[in-house]
Amino acid sequence: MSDDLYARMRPSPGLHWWLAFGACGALTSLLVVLATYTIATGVGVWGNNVPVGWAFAIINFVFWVGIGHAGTFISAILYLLEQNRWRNPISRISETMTLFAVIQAGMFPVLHLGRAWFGYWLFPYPDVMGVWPQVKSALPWDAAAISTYFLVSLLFWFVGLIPDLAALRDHAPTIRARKIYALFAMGWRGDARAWRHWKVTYLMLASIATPLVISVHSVVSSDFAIGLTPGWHTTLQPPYFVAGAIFSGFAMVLVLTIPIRFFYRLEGVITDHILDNCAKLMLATGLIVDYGYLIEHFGAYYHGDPAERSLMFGYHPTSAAFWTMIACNVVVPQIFWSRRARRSKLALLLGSLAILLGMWLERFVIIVQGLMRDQLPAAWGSYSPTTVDLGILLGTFGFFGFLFLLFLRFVPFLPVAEMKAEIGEES
Amino acid sequence: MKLFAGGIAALEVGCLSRAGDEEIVPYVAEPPEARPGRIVRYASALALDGFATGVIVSTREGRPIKIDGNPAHPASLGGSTAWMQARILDLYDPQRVQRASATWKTLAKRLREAKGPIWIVMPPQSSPTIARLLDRVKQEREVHVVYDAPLARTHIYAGHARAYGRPLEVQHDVAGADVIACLDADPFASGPMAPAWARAAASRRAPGPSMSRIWACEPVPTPSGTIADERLAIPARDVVALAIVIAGELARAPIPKELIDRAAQRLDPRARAWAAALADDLRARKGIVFVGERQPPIVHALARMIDRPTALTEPVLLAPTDDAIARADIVIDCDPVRTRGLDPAIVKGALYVGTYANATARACASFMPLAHELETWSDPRAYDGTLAIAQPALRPRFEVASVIDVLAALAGDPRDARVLIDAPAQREAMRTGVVAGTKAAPVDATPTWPADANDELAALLRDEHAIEIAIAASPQLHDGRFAGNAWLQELPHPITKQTWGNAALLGATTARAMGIADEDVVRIATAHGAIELPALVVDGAADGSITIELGHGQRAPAIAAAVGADACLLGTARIQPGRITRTDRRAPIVRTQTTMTEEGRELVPTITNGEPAQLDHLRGDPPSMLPTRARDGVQWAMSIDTSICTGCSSCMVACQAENNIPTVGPDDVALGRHMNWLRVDRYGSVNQPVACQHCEDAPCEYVCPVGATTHSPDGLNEQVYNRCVGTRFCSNNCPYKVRRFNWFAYETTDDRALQYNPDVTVRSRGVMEKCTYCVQRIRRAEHEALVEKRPIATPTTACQDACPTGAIRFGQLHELADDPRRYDLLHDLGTRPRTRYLARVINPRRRG
Amino acid sequence: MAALYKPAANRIYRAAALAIVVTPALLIVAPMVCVRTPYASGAGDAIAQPVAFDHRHHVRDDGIACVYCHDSVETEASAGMPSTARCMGCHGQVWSESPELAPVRASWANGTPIRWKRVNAVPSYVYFHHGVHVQAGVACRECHGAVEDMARVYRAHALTMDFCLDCHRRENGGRSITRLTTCSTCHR
Repeated sequence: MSDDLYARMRPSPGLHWWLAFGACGALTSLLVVLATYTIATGVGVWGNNVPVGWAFAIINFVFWVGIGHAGTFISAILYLLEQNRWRNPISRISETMTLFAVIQAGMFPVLHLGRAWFGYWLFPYPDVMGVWPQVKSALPWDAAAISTYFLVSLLFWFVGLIPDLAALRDHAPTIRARKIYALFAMGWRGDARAWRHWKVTYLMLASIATPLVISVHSVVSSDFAIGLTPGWHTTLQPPYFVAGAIFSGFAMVLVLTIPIRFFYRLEGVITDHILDNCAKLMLATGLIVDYGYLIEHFGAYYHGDPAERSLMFGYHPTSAAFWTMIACNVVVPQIFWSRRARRSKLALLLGSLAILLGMWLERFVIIVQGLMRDQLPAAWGSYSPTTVDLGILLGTFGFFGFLFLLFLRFVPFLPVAEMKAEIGEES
Repeated sequence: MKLFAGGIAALEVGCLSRAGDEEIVPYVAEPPEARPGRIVRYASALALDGFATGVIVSTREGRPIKIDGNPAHPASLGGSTAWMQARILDLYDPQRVQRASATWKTLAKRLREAKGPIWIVMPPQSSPTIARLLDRVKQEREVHVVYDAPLARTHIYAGHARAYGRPLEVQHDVAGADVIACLDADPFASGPMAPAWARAAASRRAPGPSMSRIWACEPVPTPSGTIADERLAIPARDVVALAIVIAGELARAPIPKELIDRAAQRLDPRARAWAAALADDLRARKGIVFVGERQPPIVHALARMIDRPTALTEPVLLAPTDDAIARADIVIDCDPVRTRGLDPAIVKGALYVGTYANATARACASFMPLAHELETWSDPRAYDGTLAIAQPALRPRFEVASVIDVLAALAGDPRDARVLIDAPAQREAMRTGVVAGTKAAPVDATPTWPADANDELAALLRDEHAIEIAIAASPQLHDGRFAGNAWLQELPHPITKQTWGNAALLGATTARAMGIADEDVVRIATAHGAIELPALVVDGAADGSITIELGHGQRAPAIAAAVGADACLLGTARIQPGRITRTDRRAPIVRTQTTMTEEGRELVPTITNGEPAQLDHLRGDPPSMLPTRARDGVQWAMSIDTSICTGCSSCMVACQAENNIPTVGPDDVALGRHMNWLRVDRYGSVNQPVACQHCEDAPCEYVCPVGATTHSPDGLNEQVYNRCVGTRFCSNNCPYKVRRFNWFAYETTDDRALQYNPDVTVRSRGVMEKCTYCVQRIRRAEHEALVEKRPIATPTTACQDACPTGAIRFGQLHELADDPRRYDLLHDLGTRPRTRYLARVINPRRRG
Repeated sequence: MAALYKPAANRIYRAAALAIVVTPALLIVAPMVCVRTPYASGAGDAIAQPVAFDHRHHVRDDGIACVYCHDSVETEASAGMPSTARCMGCHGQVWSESPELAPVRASWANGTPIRWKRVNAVPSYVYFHHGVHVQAGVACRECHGAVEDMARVYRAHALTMDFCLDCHRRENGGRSITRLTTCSTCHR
């Protein structure tokens, strides 16, 4: 079985791979150019202003961190919950998605700074100024949470990869490839002792990663929850953000898995049952998110702060974003009550894309709409993104795809060793 | 002044400054008054349309950096207007044309040697030295002088000439008046005595039986109109009818009943009731009437019949020899080609003495840079006659000439202006800024109603037109002479909050009837010409009247080009019939505030005089589980009285000058990136200056990840630019939205950097900034107290210094006595702001 | 199957693995060390000046007080750098022919100022006031070192923010924020 899977994961790159790689490469270059331009010229090249101090960069940041969550959820939480039969085939893909999504997200907290070159002041270190970061703010915790999340995800991902890399070292067609895989396999021999250690390490990393699923997005949500801005100032934010993150993350998993399954002919491995489960989870987390919307509006009505009320119920110049969000996040997921929809690849793909759009817009609604309509009507503002904003957003998708395509090409994207072990245990 | 001591570059040089990287450049021989780091102040004066306003110029190491009103000068009393504050920037304006067509010596020689009659076109003048020099030139040759000012007081003088037989100036007793009527006038924010009259009016605005009542009628709201108790929106052409009705009610002028009835018919019932009530008020109490200078002369005569002022003086402005420009040999500091539509051929051979290469300068044969008022000596007189010695605060950086220089050259007098104005004999006046005892002597005169006046009124009443085009002074650019000043271009209009340009201002009903919405480009046409500009609906604007402000749409200087439309193209008549048609284009209007309603929030509570203030729910310490901040020792606070704030915005410019605040240009203002630390919000007719509130529990402080915004023990919310990394979290979290971010490198590197206040860090790209309560002044006061071993003397903030009405007060918490009108902005958020507001009081007349 | 790498590769591999961990750590620590060295602040570098002015001679030998030349140090923000006139006050008579003083005489004759190199400097966003420090009893040498022993003036301390804060916090009696340690004391 394993030989067959390794072979199936390493076809010679076809035209579609090259086309996709070329497109993503171009967008990645765009990202590099625009990020450099932003840092060299000033964040004024974006559409941000006062009152809308945060916009695309922070939306993208929250969006991409959120995407990451499903990966850790699948690879760590489902692992701990021993859901391996349906978890295993998609765990590597989703873990990698996490890693690459966090890379996209991690750029923004630095990029959005007015003085990105002093971004390291957010970390506590002994400086000659005799001052430290201000720990009442959510942002140093944000910086810590994101860097922790990235490091843990990277370790978890890499440790999981070692047995498969070793297999590739042993199976790769050329000596050069074998030598390279050998470097990354870290001398893995697959003996019982190594497996034992590996399992403990993997389990421990899974245990460390699990609370991060909850904590990272809770910390991210406190960027808003601690604020006074209408639409931000609510204790609802952490659970609402975590649910939303997993919601959008599963959508991204499906958006990635369905084409992979098609192009690599893995219908027998990534079964309809797995997709079905993903859709169910998406529906469940989606309902939590919907509940969040409800409570948010109820809260505004109930405590009666005029700013909050007018934001939730009044006219808003960008209300189209709100209604699109409702359509994508509230209406669309309801189709997954139907088993037929959960088994339809097209419905899953389109539904997931809609949810990704919806979740991106959700962050737009929270961040930008609230800032546009703050406490003093005299200070109300407007916001429209610039081409640089749009370019950077597209660029992150390009960069994400660029990394992911390289991953598909060079790294075993199915955890064959784990799948084998699972089958071994079951039989 | 030799060289600056201490080569302190206003340049950020990283966290560390290495030994030997910078230079120290001491004086060769230090001038006695120079102490590096000390502020040296000079009394001087600025003139606008011929009238002087005394100023105090603050200099640092020889550089003038700030202008404030001179408390000893009757036209200022310490207060400023926006343009006075902004004049400091013009001194260093890189757009000033610095190259003369020939050296001044050559040009002066040419002037002197030309024979025959000479034509001079210049702004109105009040200087006795200029009068003397003109007389001397007149002895040698025929001299024609035309005083050119688009906002001239010609109608006032003509009207007063009708009433008194000669043009007289009224010295209104504003502080003594119980009733102040502003008929299409804005005496508290524009005109020759704006700061002084505003201060005087404010002195009678404390609630109580002695509170004055201000009446205003105008086509669009003005700053004076916003503080009025009884305001009426009325087209400018109908003011005459209103005046007739008032005079008729009071029976103070022999106007036939039939004419009064016709006037009353012309007014709508609301306006009639307003006029009747005002007449009642004027009958019962001591009143004064201001009439706008664009109103027909006879309305001014009628106003004098109504208020019968006792304090009259001869005008200080020199009388022109001619009104029309038939020829021009010298044109100084005015732009008749643009403003009067003068044929450029007329000035073809003239010498232009001016600041910018404007339309007239380009048409003239030769050019000489005009001296800025802080570069030269002059002796302008104030509206009340007081003579000021305007002394220079720095030596010009290039060759310039002043009006006195030009006339001295014509007269062949080789002495310089300092000697000509007899400054050496005026040592005391140079210290105080005013020459004692030069106030104009009162003139005894009683107004009489001219025989043909009623016919004239009847003719005016016959003038009916569907749409009137009213040309107004720009609150920022005046007649356009300040169009090169970026601070004023970027200063939000007190009413519309528009920056960088003008618009066709009209009322909601008219707009609806014509299908015009905000930002629709409209074509305004009069008998003289047409312009296209975006329309803007103004709350409180009269129907059937379109107001367009002067000063915009010029081709020079560079920053004025491409913003706004030039109202001068509509002709020089300031109230005239016209047409407005909608085009199918739209053009953005760059505004800093677009929502002018409270949106269901209690932001500007209003109290009616005589009724108790019930504002307890808007002040005091809200309940909190957290410990309150200690209020021991010196604690700073500010109080802003919305009752007497006219919205004139001089505080905004003062803040800009004091705190090195950059301008960002129309594109960035449109995006919401203007940098003013202090803004004046307007909700309806209440002006509310909002700067950092220095909250005791500041929402900005706890969200900054690097501690760049912190709280000082004396109650300031501090902003540490050099620690700021620019997350903008603080701005997002500030409910007052008073924080400003440097989206780009906005700081200037050209000559304007010479204006920078060395006590305030020049912010670089990517950092947040905001009002500091002028912490540099507080710390300076502390240092002085420490060095002199005495308790601290409460400093003033720049906005407070500039405020003509004294609406802004700064001091220690205990010095700002509690007031029943006090409220905190957004009190329920629990921020405990140190800036407290005093609620607006209105004193309406109870009818019926 | 033949081995892909020689056994010696193991050692290199382990070293490389270690380097992957250690290098970033060093990259983080190195600037922290570097900024504390005199190299970063130029402390200890005797700076060559346009005039070979010797504080040892003026202060120790002649007994001239600091305040004689730096005459605004007790009251003003700036300590005051003596004008050429001040130098010539003495050197018009004393050592009036000395070749070392030629730049001073040239300055006096031409009216061009002497351009000294600034030794003790703080960044432009730091507002240091000499007067209040002197009034509070801070001796010159606490920041400037023993200038009277310097042939050519060098910076005695790094003059970084923690150098200032050490003293301000000590005077304060702790790390609480008071008039002496609040940000706007120095940054405006």
